[in-house]
Amino acid sequence: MGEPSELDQKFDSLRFNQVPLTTFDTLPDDILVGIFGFLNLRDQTRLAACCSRFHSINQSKVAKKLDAVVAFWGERHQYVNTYESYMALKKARCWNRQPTDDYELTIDESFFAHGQTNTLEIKVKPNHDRPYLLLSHLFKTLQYASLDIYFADSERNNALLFRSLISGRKLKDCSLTIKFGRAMFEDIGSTRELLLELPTMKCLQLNWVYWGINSDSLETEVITDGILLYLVDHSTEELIVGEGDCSLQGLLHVHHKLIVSECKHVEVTVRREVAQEFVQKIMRHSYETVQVHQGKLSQHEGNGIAMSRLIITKRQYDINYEFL
Amino acid sequence: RIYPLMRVTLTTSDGASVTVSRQLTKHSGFIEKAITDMAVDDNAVPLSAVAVDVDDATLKLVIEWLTEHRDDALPYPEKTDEERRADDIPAWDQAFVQKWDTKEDQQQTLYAVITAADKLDIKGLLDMTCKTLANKINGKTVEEMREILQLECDFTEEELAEIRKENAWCEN
Repeated sequence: MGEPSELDQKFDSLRFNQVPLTTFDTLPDDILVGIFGFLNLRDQTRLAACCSRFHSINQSKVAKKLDAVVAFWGERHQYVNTYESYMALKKARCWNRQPTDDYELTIDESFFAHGQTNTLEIKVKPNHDRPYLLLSHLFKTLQYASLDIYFADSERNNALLFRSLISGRKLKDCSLTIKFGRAMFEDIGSTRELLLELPTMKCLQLNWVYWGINSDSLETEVITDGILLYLVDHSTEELIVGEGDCSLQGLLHVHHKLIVSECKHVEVTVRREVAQEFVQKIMRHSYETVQVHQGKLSQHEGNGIAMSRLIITKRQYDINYEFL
Repeated sequence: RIYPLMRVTLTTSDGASVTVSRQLTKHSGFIEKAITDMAVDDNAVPLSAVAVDVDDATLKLVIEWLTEHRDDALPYPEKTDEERRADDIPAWDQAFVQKWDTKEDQQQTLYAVITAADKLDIKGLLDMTCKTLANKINGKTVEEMREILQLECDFTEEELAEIRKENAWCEN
């Protein structure tokens, strides 16, 4: 007897009410991607290890959802970790890549593609180009809710990495903390350019530590009237920066911008006499919508110029001043 | 089986037909599109039959779920990846799945309902059944997952060794 014809098979199927069995591995890719989406990173990884089809789906179609990604690149050690539970780092199970030697960190460059993380923390203190190229590529399409980046040294490639983390992204709901350590004179102009490229974001905290030769002015600070005004205009919640070379006129513009823009809170440290004059001027006009406080008094580290913290807040925006 | 406000007749892949109310079919993107494509009078009773690529037994389960969820808001709310969670299945849905999701069944029905929800474009049902499946494998080892889902490991020894190395972080 020969093989049953297609018609016979159909007839048998109908006669015996044989409905083809649906099994897990026959579900369409889209459904499997949906199921992956309900799993945490660890379970996604384990499911992907079950068979080659799931492995391939996980690699090509499933966006990783992470609580935190922490990348550190020092002179001797490098690592990129993800934490499922950022608040419990000690208990967290980490996805960890250690270098094979001081300069080689082998990493699957597609791992973070189109993934999401609540926090992206990067600290770079390298003496070569590789981390900038690798991290720029690695995090190019990784979405974050909060970015905390620390450029520990003056380095021309800082801009490359920074641009890859901000350009073409929608950061309206993102908080950024950017720290520049040991910045040199040649970094001032390029950093100002970078700040003027920032898209609209929720909050920005900027810390600039200048390590070069000081002058008797504040020209080594990256915050100027123009930069401050731009940043106020591009922050929808808070803008907290360090010392700035700001004038009374510049601060008045910032004050006016605060009234008309979405930004609700600005902190900046300026020359003490400028801060005092600004506060007096604002007090005289008794603006109802914006509140101005003169905060901590200090001296500029490089040249001893007397400085004063200014805290400018929209009235409807409640801030607990005890902590400032 | 007849439901109130008989309006749409669905013919199943195994030749049965079921008539259901538009109140239920409005949750199915596939059926609603088919009705729209027919360009018939909305008040016509009953509407022409819509053929669905779902067997009778599975369709009955789908209709039972739709009957319970007939008043759910439409469109089904799109959730962001952050909002997607598997631990919020309503009690009725959990009991509904438990009725037929037995060990003997080996999840055949669950897979069939997932496939039906996908074909009929019923987002709420698809979401719920996918969550149910995700909950089954949540926290399980690779071997346990393979057993639950009846999967064959088709990796070569070399691939397996590489995967174990890559995944060491989640097995510690």
